Amino acid sequence: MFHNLVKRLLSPVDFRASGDNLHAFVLLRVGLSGILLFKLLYELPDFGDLYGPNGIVPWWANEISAPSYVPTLSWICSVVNSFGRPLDPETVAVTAQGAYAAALVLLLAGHCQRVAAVTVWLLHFVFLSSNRFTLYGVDAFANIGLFFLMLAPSTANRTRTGGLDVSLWPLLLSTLLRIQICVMYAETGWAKAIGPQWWSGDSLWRALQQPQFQAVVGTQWLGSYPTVVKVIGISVIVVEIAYPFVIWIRKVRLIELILILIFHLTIMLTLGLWAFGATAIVLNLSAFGIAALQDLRSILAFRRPSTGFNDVVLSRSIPGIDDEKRGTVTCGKVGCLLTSRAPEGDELR
Amino acid sequence: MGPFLIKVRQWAYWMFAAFHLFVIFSFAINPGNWLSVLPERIQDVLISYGYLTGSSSGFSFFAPHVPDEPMVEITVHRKDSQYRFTLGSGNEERLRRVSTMLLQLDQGKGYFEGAVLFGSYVFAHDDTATLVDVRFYRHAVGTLRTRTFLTPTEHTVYVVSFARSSYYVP
Repeated sequence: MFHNLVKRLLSPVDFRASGDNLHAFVLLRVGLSGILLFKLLYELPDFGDLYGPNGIVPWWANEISAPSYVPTLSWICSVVNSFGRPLDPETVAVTAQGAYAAALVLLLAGHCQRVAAVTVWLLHFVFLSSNRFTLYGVDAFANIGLFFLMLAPSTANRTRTGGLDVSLWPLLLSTLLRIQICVMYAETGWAKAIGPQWWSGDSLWRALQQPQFQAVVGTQWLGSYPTVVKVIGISVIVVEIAYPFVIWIRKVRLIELILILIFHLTIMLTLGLWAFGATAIVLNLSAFGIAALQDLRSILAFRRPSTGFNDVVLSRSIPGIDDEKRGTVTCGKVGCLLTSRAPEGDELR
Repeated sequence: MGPFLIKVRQWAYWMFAAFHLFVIFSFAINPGNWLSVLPERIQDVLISYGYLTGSSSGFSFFAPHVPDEPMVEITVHRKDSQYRFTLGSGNEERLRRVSTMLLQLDQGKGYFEGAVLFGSYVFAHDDTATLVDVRFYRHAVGTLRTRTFLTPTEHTVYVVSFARSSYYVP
């Protein structure tokens, strides 16, 4: 009885967030490497100032605070120098940057995927450690995404299936990514909720008015509508805190995902944090985007008569089904269930 | 691959997942207390793993409150001229990164340490500079209630000057 009760309570919950996990990693790979490549090009004129040996924070200052086991550009420089002919620190920094760019291009194109992903992750980490004082959200997000990309199965190997290996590993990695994103939103939502500023709308207002954020969309007019600012501030807290709970429930997942995407899109437009916003959007779509899309398809399938699409999926899900049965199944629950299972079956074939 | 190896591999996957989750939650819930009870070597392993994988990153963007924005103005004196600039001006990404650093300096009151960095940065890039003034100030935006966005104010919090061979505080 208890088992049935729990089962019934958890029936709307989809802990597996069923979806094609390999496709999710393709999305993560293309999205993240594209953003990082664009960001690298954007930062190019300031590379020396941000990461160079004589930058705004020179290497020696960074070394004081960095743990000895963390690889940095100066660490690479000393390793290279220990092999014989000493190299100019500037040359080491520029070479590392070139290697990072090349690996990003390979990753984006999907060539030598594993090697490219490991190289990008490692060099991203090196740049991150060499410039610890100036890190902000996008660096942490990218680090998380690259770590999962490094471990994710190569999407080029889709046809070479080993049964268990291909199905379990992507599923585990996707689930870990999803949980990590949930923890992230819970943490940031909670951090906002414990102070009074987000409840009064002040935080939002102060963030929007800071000179460092060069908005694409002007926000000064919001000052005339303090209630609107207050409501938006409270909704940010609610959306972030609700995320780890709501995102697993099939019926509302799509709404929560859309709200969080709007939130990040707004950050991009009003605060000018395009790299941060885009990375967060890519992470969200990789984690829950495909599952949400399937939810949407299921909802639409309930509301419209059976189409050729459902029949095709049905025939792919159960290869042995005869034409007569396929013809009789309409847009009922069975059809929807099979639709949502289809990509996983596809993945295993 | 034999069934035994498949089983071993499956277990390895699960162990990895459990460890990763443990690290995520350890840092997210209460890093200080959770880690301090563990032996130092294990703490190092967890911190390193968390740092490498991003699972130890704290996420508290703009929380619990948004402070006034700290800024730095640098005046460079030459023998017969002088010029002034705001640190971080230019590229948006550069500005963002410099702002992050200034926020950390402001929160830790590390104005002097920051000023030393910025002073040496100017001397390293401008051979003709003889004296550098570094001014830390905050850009106050006011509250929503007062809506002081029309008259943003600046508060100077720290000023220090450096000469090429030594420094002095006026």
